[in-house]
Amino acid sequence: MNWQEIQKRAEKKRKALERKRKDPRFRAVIGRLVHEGFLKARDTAPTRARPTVEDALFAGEVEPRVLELLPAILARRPKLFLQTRPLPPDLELVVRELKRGKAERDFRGIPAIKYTAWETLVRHHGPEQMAIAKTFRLKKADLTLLAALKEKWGLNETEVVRKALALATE
Amino acid sequence: MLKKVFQKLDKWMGEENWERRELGTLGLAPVKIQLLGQMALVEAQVDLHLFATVDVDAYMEVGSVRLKLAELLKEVGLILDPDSDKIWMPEETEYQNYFHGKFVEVVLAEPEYVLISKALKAPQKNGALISEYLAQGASKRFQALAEKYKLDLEQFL
Repeated sequence: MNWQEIQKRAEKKRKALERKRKDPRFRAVIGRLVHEGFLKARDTAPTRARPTVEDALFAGEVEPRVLELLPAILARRPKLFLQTRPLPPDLELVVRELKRGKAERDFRGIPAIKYTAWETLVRHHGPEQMAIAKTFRLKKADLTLLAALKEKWGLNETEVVRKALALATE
Repeated sequence: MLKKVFQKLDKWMGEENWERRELGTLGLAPVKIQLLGQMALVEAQVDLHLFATVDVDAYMEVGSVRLKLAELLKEVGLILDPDSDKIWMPEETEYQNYFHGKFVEVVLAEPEYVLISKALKAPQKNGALISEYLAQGASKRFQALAEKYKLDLEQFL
């Protein structure tokens, strides 16, 4: 097969994909995932629409990254997609395994290691809400103060810093 | 968007080195970051429909600069993939300049090398992307890579 023929056949495939990308179900799913901060898409505006799980599976046929996110969303934030009928058996199985922390099987071509990786992100409602590790160099006097506040407030060091920051900005 | 993150990283390294000098400790050595994967395509502004999960793939040394980069990326809703080092790229991969700071240099893998890596290692996940690229007419460089690495193009047609 020469490259001209490859281009011709790929063009047919591209047109079919383009039709699916224009489908309102696809746009609603991608828009919602962009809104949640789970996906970056140059050409899709974020939306608060609540698509169905079937819509997500449809969108996943075009963009498999949706399938990568779907098990974690259904396991940790099931209300994000509307469930109008029982989940397909393969999806129900991986969601159940994911909830038990025992996901091992592929889901529609997505390896378990890939879709389980999103669980933490989804649980924390997107990267902005996840805790960030920060390092500081503190002097002995600061450490004494930190220890005293730990004792006084009955909190751990991170909680002390959070509380002190909240008090300072009140 | 990523350029601003690297500017912040460069600034942080400058401040950190100043502080370390004051304390008489060893400064941070300049770093080179090689951006790979979907983010490399996004930042190279290739004319394809690009959807990306929030992970950023990059080859870079492990250490405090990497930790700081992960922290800065999180602030803009992105995650530095801890398994980036496992990503396969063709040995002949060429990179284009992206950001050159005082301490931080960032380069992007050229699109054809990213696409061939995706087509070979995750064809199902990247099927739509590769089909779209082939429909535009693959470059001579991509054609040579596809032949060298015996890429099965039929799966994208």
